Amino acid sequence: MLALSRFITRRPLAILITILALTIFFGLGARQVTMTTNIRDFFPGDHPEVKAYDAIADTFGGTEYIMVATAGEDVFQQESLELIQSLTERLSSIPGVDRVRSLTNVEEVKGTPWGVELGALLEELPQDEEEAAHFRARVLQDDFYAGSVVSRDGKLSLLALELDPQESAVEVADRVLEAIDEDGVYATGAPILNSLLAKSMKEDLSRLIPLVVLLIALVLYLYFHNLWGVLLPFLTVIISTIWTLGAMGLSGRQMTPLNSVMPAILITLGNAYGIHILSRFYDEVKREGRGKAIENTLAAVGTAVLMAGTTTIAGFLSNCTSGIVQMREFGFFTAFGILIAMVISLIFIPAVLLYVKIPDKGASREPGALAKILQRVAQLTAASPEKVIIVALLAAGTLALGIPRLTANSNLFNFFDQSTQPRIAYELVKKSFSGSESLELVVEGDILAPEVLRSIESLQNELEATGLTGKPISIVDVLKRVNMALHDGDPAYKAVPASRELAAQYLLLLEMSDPDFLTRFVTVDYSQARIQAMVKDTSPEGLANLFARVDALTGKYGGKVTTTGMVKLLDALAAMIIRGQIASLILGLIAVFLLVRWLTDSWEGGLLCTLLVALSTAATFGFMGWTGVALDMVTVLISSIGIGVGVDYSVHLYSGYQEARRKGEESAAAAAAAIRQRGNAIVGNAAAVIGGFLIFLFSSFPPLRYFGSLVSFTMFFAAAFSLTLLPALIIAGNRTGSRTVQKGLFQ
Amino acid sequence: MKRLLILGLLVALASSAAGASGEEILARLDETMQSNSREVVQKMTLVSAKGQERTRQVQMWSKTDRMLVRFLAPADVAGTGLLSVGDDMWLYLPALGRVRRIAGHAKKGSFMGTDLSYEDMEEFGKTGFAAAYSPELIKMEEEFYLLRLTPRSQDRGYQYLEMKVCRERFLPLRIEYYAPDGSLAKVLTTMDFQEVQGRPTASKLIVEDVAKGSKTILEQLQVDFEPDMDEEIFSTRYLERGR
Repeated sequence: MLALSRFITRRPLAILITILALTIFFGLGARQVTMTTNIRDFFPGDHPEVKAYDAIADTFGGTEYIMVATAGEDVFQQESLELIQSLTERLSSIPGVDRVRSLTNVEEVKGTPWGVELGALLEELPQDEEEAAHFRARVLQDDFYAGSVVSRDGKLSLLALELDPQESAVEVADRVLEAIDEDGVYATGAPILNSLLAKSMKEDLSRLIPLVVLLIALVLYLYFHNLWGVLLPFLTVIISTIWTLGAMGLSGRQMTPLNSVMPAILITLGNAYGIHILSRFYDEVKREGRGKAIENTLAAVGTAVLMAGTTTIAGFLSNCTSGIVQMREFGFFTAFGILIAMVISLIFIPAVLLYVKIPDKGASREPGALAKILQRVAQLTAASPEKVIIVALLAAGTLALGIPRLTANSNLFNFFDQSTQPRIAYELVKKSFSGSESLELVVEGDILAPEVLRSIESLQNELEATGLTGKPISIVDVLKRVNMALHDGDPAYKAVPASRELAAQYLLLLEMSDPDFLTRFVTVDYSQARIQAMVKDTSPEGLANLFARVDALTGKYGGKVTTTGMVKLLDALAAMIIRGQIASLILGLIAVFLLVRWLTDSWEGGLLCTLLVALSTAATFGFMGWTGVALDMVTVLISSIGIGVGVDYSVHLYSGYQEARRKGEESAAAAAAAIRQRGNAIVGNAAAVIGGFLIFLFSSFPPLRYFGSLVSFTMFFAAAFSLTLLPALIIAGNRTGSRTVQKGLFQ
Repeated sequence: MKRLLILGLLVALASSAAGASGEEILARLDETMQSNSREVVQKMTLVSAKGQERTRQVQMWSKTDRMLVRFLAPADVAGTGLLSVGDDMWLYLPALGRVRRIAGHAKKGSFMGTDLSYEDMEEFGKTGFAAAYSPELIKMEEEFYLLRLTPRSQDRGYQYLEMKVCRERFLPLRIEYYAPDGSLAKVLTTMDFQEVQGRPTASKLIVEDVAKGSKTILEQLQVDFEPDMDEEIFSTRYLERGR
């Protein structure tokens, strides 16, 4: 620290210029940061689920859909049909939309008086009421169309847009949203949500970040009562945020829903180091010259800043073990940002302090209500540490019992409130149709063989019988329809063709009508077929249930079956969130333990501080379990923040205890002294952090709101435990320790 | 003025000396390829964008506006027949044991599941190119002429074609089909030239659908330009016989 302060006092200008230059450099890089909400970007490119997903898109065409629903009294009315027709044409012409399937253009395998052909279900719009009624009756009684392009009550119609897998689904979704402006027309599906999410998230953050900034400025002003006291910690977080975003931009990284909270985290957490340094400096400068004051400040609080900073960095870095790409990047870049904030606080702030005008009055305050409360807490803890321990453990234990109830949810739909437009559209499609996300099964085998076709048929029937999907569609349905049509519409022939020759000849016939029609059902060499079904419930439990059933069904099918689709990615993502969370928790705790052990030079300190932060994290997860808040892409971050930041309070208290012990106090008195002396700073810091994170309550996204309140909850626990449980444990531990020693002596 | 006249004269002389006009080239090409009747055994390999293949073998008889196609392989479609007379088309599925008529607009569609449409197919040797396109000679090389063919009617489905015509045999070497939006839709290449009954013919055609990424390879295994065939075969009765 001495070398550092010498370096600063000798070359302040060089430091300031270097930092300015780097900030400009990173600032330019920060402008390259874009936002992605594409689920696929969350997976490493070689992830098996992504490979399976890409393979099916390659073979059969897109599996990503945008669903456009039109709502009205009766979709078979002239106006509604005209609207559907106009939407179909408009949406088909959008670049990136491969196919649109709607009531007005859906194919029909037609048995004509002289044969069979693939034609449009609706060749011309009905000219009068009678024709409309006839068309309505024909469509609604056919389960090929009712429940897929039209709701069974005839009040909604659905246009399914199949997207070109080569194009960015989010960009296509933007174009689709631009193309529809009618009332009563809703768009949904993962690409639409992704697009809206990216947009509203930007808006949300541009609203929240100024609020966080304002709050922190207020806290700083209340603390220092002068301009530089506000400005310097502030500049620190601004610089660290710019550098971090710059580093992301320069390395080609993108913002995601997950790391969108990063700037707010950096602003909230990054200013603590500056506060530490400034408040000590104002104390020192009353007695010494500036140079000497800086030297003393760094000597006194430099280590404390390092302690707080390194544990926080370790907490964030623990995310780097996650299987989710964006988690790793979040962990890495936030740790980088904290490192910068710490370094800037240690170098930049002292360098500036050499130049600026120093206010006459420092931050001297009267002992207020807080000091009295702390005094009371100290007395209570010293008097009956056992009681404190029991109460604290009971509280934490009760909460922790909720952990088994914890769920993970990777569904982007949760980012929207029930009452918002995207969510309404999603629920509408889910209620009246099967859903907007597809389950894709690829079966392999000699597809045209009647026994294979029959086992595909029974697989489909059993899948539908689970009630978890809409009606599955495959080449079997196409063949059954042709079979019936070529047998003069006799329903007895709505069955799998009796021979492989018949099946092959039917397909040949269809190919002559439209060779592209079959490509989405079966491969050119008839070795793979696709079964597609829309998934009704995309909640984590719904998906887990679905995949358990699907696995059982596909196990019964003779040949190889691959299960994929966007829902499979969502499910895999949820599993990765949980797994990543466990790994990063363990790693974070180990790292924090080693750091604290090293920083306090005490095994007891390392163990107690780690135990404390583990308890407050367990309490938070348990709280989530009890309240039903799921771990999702944002709330998953709380534990790394909880560990890295929460441990600061206990480290703070423990080093206060060590300081008092060095002055000759016995353990109970030293613990009480630590509460009195360090309590103020702990409460102040926790209040600032909690305040900063509570700003997220103003977010329009539920996960961000949960995130803000949960981090606040963890911080509250970490601070409260540090002031009560930790000193109680120290006192109780020393008593039993000394008793054991005494026993040994008297034997 | 005088100079200009001379210049014009020189230019005219030069171009006539260089060879034929677009019309003449296209007429000779059609003449080379067209035959009153023919019998062909053809292997069709369809290759999907992903590289999966399907092979079929057919025997085709054609005379004026009539054509009969009989599938020989694979076994599961063997015996399937397709008859086209004018704009009418019938299909015979042996496994069903019945003849069915196919809608007239099927002619706009794919030729038996290949990357060529019926219309594309018929220009080869049957209707000819000159009937549907007006040619313009845009380049002359040692080996080939480059023609730009503009459709005579709007509904032809292409904006234009660019055709390389072999100067020696008057057969197309390569045809690029451009979509109405001006993008390249298909590329057809010919190869393995032979002389059959005194007529030059390409025994292999490759058609690539640029947008879809799929490919069709057509190989002529046998060809007869003067087949001995009974008019009776172009009837639904014969079609139904299956052989």
